[in-house]
Amino acid sequence: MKRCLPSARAALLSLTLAISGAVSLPTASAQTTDPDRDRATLVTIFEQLGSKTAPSADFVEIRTLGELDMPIESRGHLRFEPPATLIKQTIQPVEETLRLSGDSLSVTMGDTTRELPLDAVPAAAALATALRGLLAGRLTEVEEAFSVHFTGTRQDWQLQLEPRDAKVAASMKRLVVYGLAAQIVQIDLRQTNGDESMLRILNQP
Amino acid sequence: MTRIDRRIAVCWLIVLALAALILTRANWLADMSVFLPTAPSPEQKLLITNLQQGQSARTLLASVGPLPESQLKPVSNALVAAWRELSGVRSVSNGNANDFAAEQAALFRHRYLLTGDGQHDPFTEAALQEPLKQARGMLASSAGLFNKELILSDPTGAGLQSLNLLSGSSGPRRHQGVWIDASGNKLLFMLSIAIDGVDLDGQEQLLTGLRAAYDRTVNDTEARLTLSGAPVFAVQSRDDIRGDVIRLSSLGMALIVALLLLMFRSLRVLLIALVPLLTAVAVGAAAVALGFGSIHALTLGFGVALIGECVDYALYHLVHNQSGAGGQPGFWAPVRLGLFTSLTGFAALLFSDFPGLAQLAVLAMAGLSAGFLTTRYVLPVLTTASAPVDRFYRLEAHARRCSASLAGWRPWALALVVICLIFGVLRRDALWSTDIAALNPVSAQARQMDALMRDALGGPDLSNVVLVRADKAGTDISAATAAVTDALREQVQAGRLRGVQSPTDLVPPVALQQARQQLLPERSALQTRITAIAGQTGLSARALAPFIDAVAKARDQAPISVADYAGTRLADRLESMLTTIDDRQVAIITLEQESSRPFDPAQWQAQLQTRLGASPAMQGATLTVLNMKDRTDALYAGYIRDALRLSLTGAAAIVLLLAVSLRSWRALGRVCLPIGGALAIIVAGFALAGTPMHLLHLVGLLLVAAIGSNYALVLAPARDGASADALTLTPLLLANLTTVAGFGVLAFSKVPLLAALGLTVGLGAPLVLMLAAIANARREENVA
Repeated sequence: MKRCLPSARAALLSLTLAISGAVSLPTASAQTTDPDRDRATLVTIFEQLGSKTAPSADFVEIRTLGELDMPIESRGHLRFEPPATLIKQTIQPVEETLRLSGDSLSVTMGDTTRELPLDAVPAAAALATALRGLLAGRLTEVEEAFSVHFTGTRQDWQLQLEPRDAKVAASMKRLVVYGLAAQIVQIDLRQTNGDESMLRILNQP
Repeated sequence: MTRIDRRIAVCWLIVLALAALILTRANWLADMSVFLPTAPSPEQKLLITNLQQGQSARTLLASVGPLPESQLKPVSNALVAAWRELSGVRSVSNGNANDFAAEQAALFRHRYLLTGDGQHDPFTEAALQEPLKQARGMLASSAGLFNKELILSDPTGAGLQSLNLLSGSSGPRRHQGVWIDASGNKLLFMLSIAIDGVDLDGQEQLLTGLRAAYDRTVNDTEARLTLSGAPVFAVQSRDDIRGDVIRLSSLGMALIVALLLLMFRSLRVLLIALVPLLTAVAVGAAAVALGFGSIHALTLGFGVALIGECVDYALYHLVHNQSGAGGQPGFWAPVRLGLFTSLTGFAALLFSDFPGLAQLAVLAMAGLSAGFLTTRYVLPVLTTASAPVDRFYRLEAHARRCSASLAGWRPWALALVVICLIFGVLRRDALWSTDIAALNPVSAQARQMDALMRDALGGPDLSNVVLVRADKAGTDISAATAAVTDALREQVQAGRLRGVQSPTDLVPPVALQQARQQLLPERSALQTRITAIAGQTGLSARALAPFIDAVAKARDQAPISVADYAGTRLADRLESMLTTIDDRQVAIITLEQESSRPFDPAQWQAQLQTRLGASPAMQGATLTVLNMKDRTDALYAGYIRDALRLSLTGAAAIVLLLAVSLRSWRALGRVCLPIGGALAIIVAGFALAGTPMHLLHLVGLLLVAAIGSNYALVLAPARDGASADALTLTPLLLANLTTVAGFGVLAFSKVPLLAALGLTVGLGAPLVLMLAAIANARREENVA
């Protein structure tokens, strides 16, 4: 069946990701024992993230929803224009452009653009804070909204972000960010209802 | 004191006590309602109800600033929280997306009865396939990340479609999710209040509460709170009217008292002079309170009109008590005739549809009669005091010499009057203002501010509307309203209108709702269909359970009614769109016109009637397209015409009365010409100044005629020959000065109504005196 192809590919991809995570995790945990050094590493990583020129990359996102029997995969481009504009352009399965700029979120599907104030959806606002904070290397901004738990080394690291705000925590359980040196390679979002989204960032300059 | 004297004094005291009793219990008003006509046609009733109770009468706009950028959002949210606490506040919006949660929930809940044409089945397998595929795409999209429940319960988009009913306009610019103005440092808010425009006390209390809450919440010293909107204007103008009436009347009174003191140099005499005046005001006001159930501050403001005439009476009494002329029966005749002419003039106003004018007539008639009777019968009982007249005689002689020299002016005066008459006739179309805004006590600056804020916030705009009215009681007009709405939507599609808001959007006709329900499949049928196409759509019946539940619920639900929106702003909107006039249903559809196109109501009406004329839905209903501003102005122009007609009737009655009493064409001319001449000069003066006159100018002209008739009558040579020793000019001059003082101060009022009146009378009274003196100068010359 031709229709199953994207889903099959998604399953394959998630499998690869799981393996890569499993491979990197033991080494990471083995080296993190000193909280002071972890803190210093975290600060350095954010400095590196912030010093990068405007990043642009492709992405593959796999979303697993409780209601659906199979995960949904989507792919497209990501672009960050410091300090606060993030553009996520989805090409498959439906074309859609999400533009996060300042405090407004606009979603363009087909001919219609819908403008949403970020306040309307606290979880979306928190996600935006996390993404922009990471991409621009602003640690304090991220730490204001999330409790940040770092594991790993400067070369191979993992952040667990748990929302501080109760309203956000009602729908967002945690964000897990995987990175290699100054590159973010994957962002996992776990929601309280069991839904998961994995955003893999590819082809970074 | 004789027994009769004692009886008179007792009667007078009883009358005063009764008047005082009535006044302490009277209901005092200061709003604009007395200048809105009563007993109008259904259409007019609607306009007036709209002015007083419509959505716009319950909408407040607020702006706060300037504030530093970091403070904008916290202050905005803090104020919303503080204001929402207040009783009387229905809702506060600051742009926050959750502001309309209740409204959105209501619309979303009823999505399957609010959308669809009732003919095409949107729930067949074929029809569902495409929307469901798209829904799955949405789930994958960024928008779907936090909208899963929404997408799965509304995969066909009916909910989004019904939510569109809410959005009138996109609203002002936002900063961090809160409304700000164009300058970027002021916050904007829109408040809906539960208190009608009729309850000004309640509105005032609420405004005070809002300001106090602001003071508690905002500590920024730079920032200011500006409130605007109909309730603010109504309360403000009431305060202005009240303040001006109290302040200016007191000032006028003080001036008059000072003037009298200067003349008489005796406190005792002054008190005597004030007795008829105070009696007149008390009795007049009490008569209004009795007749109307309430008394308006403005009416009392006009009470100063009584001052001039009543002080006249007292002066005649004092002066002639001294000269002994008071005892002559002929002496009071012209004064009494003056009273009768005034009464006749005011009597015409009794029939006015403006309660304000009718109140004024009652006040003047009762007050003048009381003042005259008090002077004639009570003053002689109270005192035998008289004015120190020696000085008056010197003054009189001087005045006569001056007036004698006026004889030469007669041709000039006549020429001036003729020129003014011609000028007035030439300008007759531009003499009267037909703009009801002329009566608006709100300053132009405040109105401009309001327009700016309203523009930014997209407040309710009721300028162009379509009325759908039932032809008789009991006829349901919802089908007709829906038909008109559909026809108007076609015009929106065609780009000839920007938008339409109709009550049937929120409460569709029951037949249409039922047709939509008929198309909703049973639970099991919908499940089967979804499962059958799940392979193509990727959404199983399990995933779409919220959708299936919602459809099943809508199938069995009772039709939506107004009650389903209770507690939301949509209920307010419906309330202002659905009303009954004379037991007949009326629906109001508001149109948002394309700003580039002029809106011609007549053309739209013809077009809609052609389009819908044959439609069975229009049975028993009539549609009217209105521009509210035009209609309000037309309504007002009609009332100006009525008031003019009444005034002219009054004037004619006065002339008739004078003609019968004077029995001489010559004498009649001597009395009427100065009055008519003065009126002509004033009217021409306003025309020359480019100030169109309104209702209160007309009242002023009437007062000039009433007051002036006294002057003219007294100055006109008495039939039995004027006694050379009588004091005539001095009391007139004094009376005239008091009138000018009383009204002159009103001309400085910031309430346009009072200023117009003050200016008209303040100029008119001395003009009449002048012209009367000129008209009668020759005879005086002979005497001198």
